[in-house]
Amino acid sequence: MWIAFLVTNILAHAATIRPSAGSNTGSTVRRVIATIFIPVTAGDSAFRALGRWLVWFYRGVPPPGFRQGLLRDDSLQAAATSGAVAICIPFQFAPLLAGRWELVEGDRMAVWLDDTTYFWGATATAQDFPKGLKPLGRFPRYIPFVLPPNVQLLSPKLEKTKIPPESSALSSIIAIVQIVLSIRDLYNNYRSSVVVKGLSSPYLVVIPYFLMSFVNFVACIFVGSYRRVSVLRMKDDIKENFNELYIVDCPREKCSGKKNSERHQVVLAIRNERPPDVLISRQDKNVDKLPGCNVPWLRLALSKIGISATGRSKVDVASQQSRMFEGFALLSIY
Amino acid sequence: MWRVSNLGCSKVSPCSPSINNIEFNGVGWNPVMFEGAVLTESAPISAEPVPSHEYSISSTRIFTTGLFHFRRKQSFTAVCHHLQWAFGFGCGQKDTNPTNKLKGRRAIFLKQFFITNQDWRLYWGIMQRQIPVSHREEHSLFRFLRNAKRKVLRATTFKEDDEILLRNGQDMDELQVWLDEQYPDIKVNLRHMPHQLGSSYLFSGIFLQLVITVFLGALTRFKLGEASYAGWFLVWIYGGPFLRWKWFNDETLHQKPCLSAPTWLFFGISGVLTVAVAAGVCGGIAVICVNLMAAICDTTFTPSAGVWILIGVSIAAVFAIIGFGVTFFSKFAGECTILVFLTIVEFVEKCLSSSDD
Repeated sequence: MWIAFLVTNILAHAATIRPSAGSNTGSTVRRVIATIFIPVTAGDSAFRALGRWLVWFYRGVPPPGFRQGLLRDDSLQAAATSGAVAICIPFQFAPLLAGRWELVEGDRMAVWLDDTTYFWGATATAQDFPKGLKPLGRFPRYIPFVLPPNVQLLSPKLEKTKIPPESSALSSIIAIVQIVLSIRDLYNNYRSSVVVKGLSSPYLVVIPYFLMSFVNFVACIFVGSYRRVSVLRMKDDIKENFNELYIVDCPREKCSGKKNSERHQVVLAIRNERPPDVLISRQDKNVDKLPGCNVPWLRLALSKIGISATGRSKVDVASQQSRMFEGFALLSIY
Repeated sequence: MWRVSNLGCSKVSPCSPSINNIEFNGVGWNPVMFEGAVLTESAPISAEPVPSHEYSISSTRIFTTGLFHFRRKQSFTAVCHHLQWAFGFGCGQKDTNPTNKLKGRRAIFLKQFFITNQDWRLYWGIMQRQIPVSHREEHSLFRFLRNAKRKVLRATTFKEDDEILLRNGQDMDELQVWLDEQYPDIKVNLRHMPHQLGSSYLFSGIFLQLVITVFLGALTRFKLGEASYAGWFLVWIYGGPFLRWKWFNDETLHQKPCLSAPTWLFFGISGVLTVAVAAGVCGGIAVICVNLMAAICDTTFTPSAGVWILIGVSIAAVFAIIGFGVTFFSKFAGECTILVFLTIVEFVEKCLSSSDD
């Protein structure tokens, strides 16, 4: 009986947690396990959602009051309030928003709002690079940031857009039943133990669990929970602007670059679905003949590291391995 | 947070990458600035090394005993800011150039000695840039505190600081223009940006601490009962929320370069405290488990110290195993699900075919 009391409380509490929008299975499971052992972690996402709702309520447009969107619904505005709508921001502006707007991490499920295709495309592997170029890392040129809750939708099309949240009926019912039954059981059956043993009574363990269930229940009333983050498309389609950059190791055979002394270079590759205009051939050292390279900075960059670029027609073999890349830019490391 | 991700290479590089010549400005590719001249299509190709005028190192002594010293070392490029803390013999040198403090303020990437909210493989995170007051609409209380702080620190601020803020303000204006152009269907008020993310993390802990104190007080009148059991229970119940207070210190290290040695020291101490509280939480769970078992069996258990430690370590091990297991297997969750599904389908087909035979 007592085990049932404790276990049902813990499991019911775990059933009410709300993962962040777009969380993958691994992070959700980790969160559930953390909430079982340390119940305070259950309230993180709920408090964040309630905080966003409060910001929307006080600073949202139109002015606050009882109106559509006060409680959770399937409108885009409600999704934005919940933190499930993102936009792309160029890399140069990212430091202005970092730490103020929420970043959509690479392991969260993000889809384009209009066609629900995945935001994070296929990733290039080391085999996709030309020989001699070792990929070190990648980052997007346009970074998805979650929109703040006080965003204003200006177009009727967006106002009519629907993003249904996940159903919270079951978790709400579980939370209500848990809270009512826990208080009732604690009062009727375990009151004597609490009175006699005081803080050493083991039955007090359930209190943080049903408190956090209550917080999750309140959050479910006002803010929906979403399975994925919807990214609004830019006016300039991002597919035309290659959203992925790769940092590639120094292509020189014997690089003398040492930390904090002589610098050596890395190459930045721009990923693209189209066949590349410029390819790198380590064997061809003739830097004066660059028929296919019409990008000044690229010519300079390649010449500095002692390699040349050749036209598409001359490097069929290399193009098999670098079909995904548009070009390479020289950067330096220290 | 978003992370720079690794492609599975064994090691990042002999040195860590730092973007220096900013051909790429986040929107498009700039013509290369070389020795002050913009190269054009017809410009001659030079084989000279990359100019290093944008790269500089600043090293300053923080503490010295005469025999050895601790120093702070900063490496700046146009785009990267790398902060390190180092130990050395001798007195070390004090950095006398005040402008070095301001270098790297407009970098995009940040790397610090201790990795907090950054990628542990490439070690670079996005650096937060300060937004000028003129571009913020904030609560009057925040405004008052900020003005007071500015008045106090007026003597130690530099003109360059204002220039940096001015440029940051221009960037904010550019961002607003860019947003209006690229997202004409939405309107975002950039002046109403929150100061910091993650405050819900702290509120969650404070809420639980406050409400649970009220509940416990009302139910038990703070009667301890068996003191050791009560102590462990309180460690478990308050330990998790207590760790949330670290947020105040950790938050300053996430996206900003931290030049304060005491802050780093406190960061280290709080890390040790975290381990201590985690051990306490495991002990608390052990006590709760034993206490519950005793209550279920209607008896009293008095395990020896060794058994208590064993139970606590077992709980910590379960934590670790589950954590590693979930992290490891979640990568293959999709594939495993398909494999299990196919295996079941194959098994059912075999069963059906054998029953037909």
